[in-house]
Amino acid sequence: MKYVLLIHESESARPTTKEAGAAVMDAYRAFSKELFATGRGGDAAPLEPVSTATCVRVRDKKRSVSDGPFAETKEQLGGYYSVDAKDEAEAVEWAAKIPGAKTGAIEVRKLADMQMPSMDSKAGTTSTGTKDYIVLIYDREEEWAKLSEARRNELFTAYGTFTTAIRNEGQFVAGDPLASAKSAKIVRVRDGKRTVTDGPFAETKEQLGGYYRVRAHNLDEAVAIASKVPSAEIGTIEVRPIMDMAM
Amino acid sequence: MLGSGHGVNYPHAVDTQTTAILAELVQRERRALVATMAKRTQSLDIAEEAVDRAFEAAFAQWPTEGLPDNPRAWLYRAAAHKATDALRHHKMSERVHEELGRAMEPAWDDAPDSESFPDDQLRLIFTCCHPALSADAQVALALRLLSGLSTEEVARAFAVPEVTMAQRLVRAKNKIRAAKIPYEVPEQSELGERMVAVLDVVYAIFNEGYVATGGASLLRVDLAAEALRLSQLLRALLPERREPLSLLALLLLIDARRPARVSADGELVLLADQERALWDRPQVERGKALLEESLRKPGEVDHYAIEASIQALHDEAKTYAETDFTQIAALYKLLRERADSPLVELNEAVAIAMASGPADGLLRVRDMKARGVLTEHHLLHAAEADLLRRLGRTADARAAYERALGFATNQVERAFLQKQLRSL
Repeated sequence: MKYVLLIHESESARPTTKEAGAAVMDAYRAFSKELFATGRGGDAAPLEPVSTATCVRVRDKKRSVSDGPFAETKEQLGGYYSVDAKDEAEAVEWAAKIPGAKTGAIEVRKLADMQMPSMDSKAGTTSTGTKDYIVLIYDREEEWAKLSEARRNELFTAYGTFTTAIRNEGQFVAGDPLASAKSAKIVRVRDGKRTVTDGPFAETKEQLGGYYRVRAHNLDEAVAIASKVPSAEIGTIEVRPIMDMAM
Repeated sequence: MLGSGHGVNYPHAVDTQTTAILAELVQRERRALVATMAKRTQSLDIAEEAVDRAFEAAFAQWPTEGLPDNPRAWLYRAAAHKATDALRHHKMSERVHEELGRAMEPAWDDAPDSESFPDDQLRLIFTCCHPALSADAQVALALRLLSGLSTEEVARAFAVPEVTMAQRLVRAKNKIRAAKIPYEVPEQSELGERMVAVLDVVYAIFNEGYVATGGASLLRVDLAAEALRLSQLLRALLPERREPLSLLALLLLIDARRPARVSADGELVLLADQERALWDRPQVERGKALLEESLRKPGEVDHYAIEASIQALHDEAKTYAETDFTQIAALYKLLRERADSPLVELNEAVAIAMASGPADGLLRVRDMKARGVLTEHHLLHAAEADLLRRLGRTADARAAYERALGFATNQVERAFLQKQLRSL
């Protein structure tokens, strides 16, 4: 079973000195090494701060682009890992080992149970002049629940078409649809003690419902991709650059 | 004078003539130089730094060694060298470095000037006014990078501490770098929409110059002048487009009234009471000619042209009473059909009051109040107060002026409202 571990941390708590920054990076490298050695690690990425975020919405076929993250929260999404765990308990074990669990919170999200086209990336290694962006999909879960089955199927089909299209363009790197935010587990470690609480992580009307990691030449191209995500017409899509470093 | 104005440390110059030439070059060429270097280095920071260091070197060398044969080419070459050095020292991967190194290769002997590389300048404009940047940041970047104002000057223009403005600029430049906002002129399909966003930034700068929120002085002549300069630049860079023409016409037609807008003792003078002989007539004519040129272009009339038409009607009227308010009200209605905004609706109400009497105007203002539109804006209450005063309802007018004062922040506007209140 695949899970996504979302790292939420207060950006003001990010290390300010070079040494502290290097120590955090070392801790993450050690964690990544341990995870990927098991062959159970999927995609992973550290995100640029929310000050680099851009929101995209499409209403009545008109696109609007604005500065800022989707939600002004105390703790912000700073990166993620996807893991293949045998059950939720094992995913929580991995989450507790992420360095950010000690300073922030790790949200453990199961993947949504839906048929999607093959998610294998066709994008090569970062080619000249391209950059990876995360496309975060914020949707109203209750709106989805209210949709007729026909409309829901229509949206699923649209997602399938969209995913296939960006895969063929070589823009798709990774992506996952997430199960309801209510089913999330929130993991924190303080003074060596672990606490696990039930989600959602943030009490917002719109919840992170999935993400794509895309490869684009610049923000305009990434925004163009984001505006084609089917949920752009009902929810909000946040585009954030992924840091140019291995995690 | 120059001083620390442009982020350049000018050494004490002896040769005043050379210094004067240099000062003019800073004014005229900085934007084009930054635009070209930004295109080639893909970094605003490196571009700005390289250009400022190049000017610094010129200030150090030219007064003693004499003017180079081709000052512009000299500056381009110097800036390109500084940029190449900076790239070398910059932490970046070898591959990126190689690419950029190649991009820096072109020789500068063909002496580019501010008219050259218009595409580089357009790129810079579209980067500064990118919708993924906050409105505040767009305006600040435009003034810093397009107008070449120093951070301190931009901060003063917006009445914020210099540190705040510096942070705003750094954040914006960080976003441009980290999110890779491109240095590109948008594709044809997006150009229209993106251009309107740029024009809106220029209009915002002009308005800020015209009525400074919270400031002591009502007129910020420099910002209005900068907006006019930018508007002229956009018109030159996008000659095929209608909107830049319309905006320039609009700004000229409003700005022509500037000499009459504030009295000798710094008090706001309403359009109705302005000394019309003080208006800049040649500028009105220039504005009108541009407006006509814009209206002759094929396609749908843009909202700047409608606004300019309203201003032209004001400028043409011999007296306030003789103004064609019926047509102005109709134009405001047209404007609202394009893009409804509370302030446009209020203006329409005021025009209706002038065209068919204060009672009709009051009806419209009351209707806005009932819908909760602009109820926390001093202009709505000031307009209501004026209509009540004209209807002879003094007590109601007094209450409305007091409400207006509760929301007004500009000192000149407050003084005006207090004066109106006293005169009841």
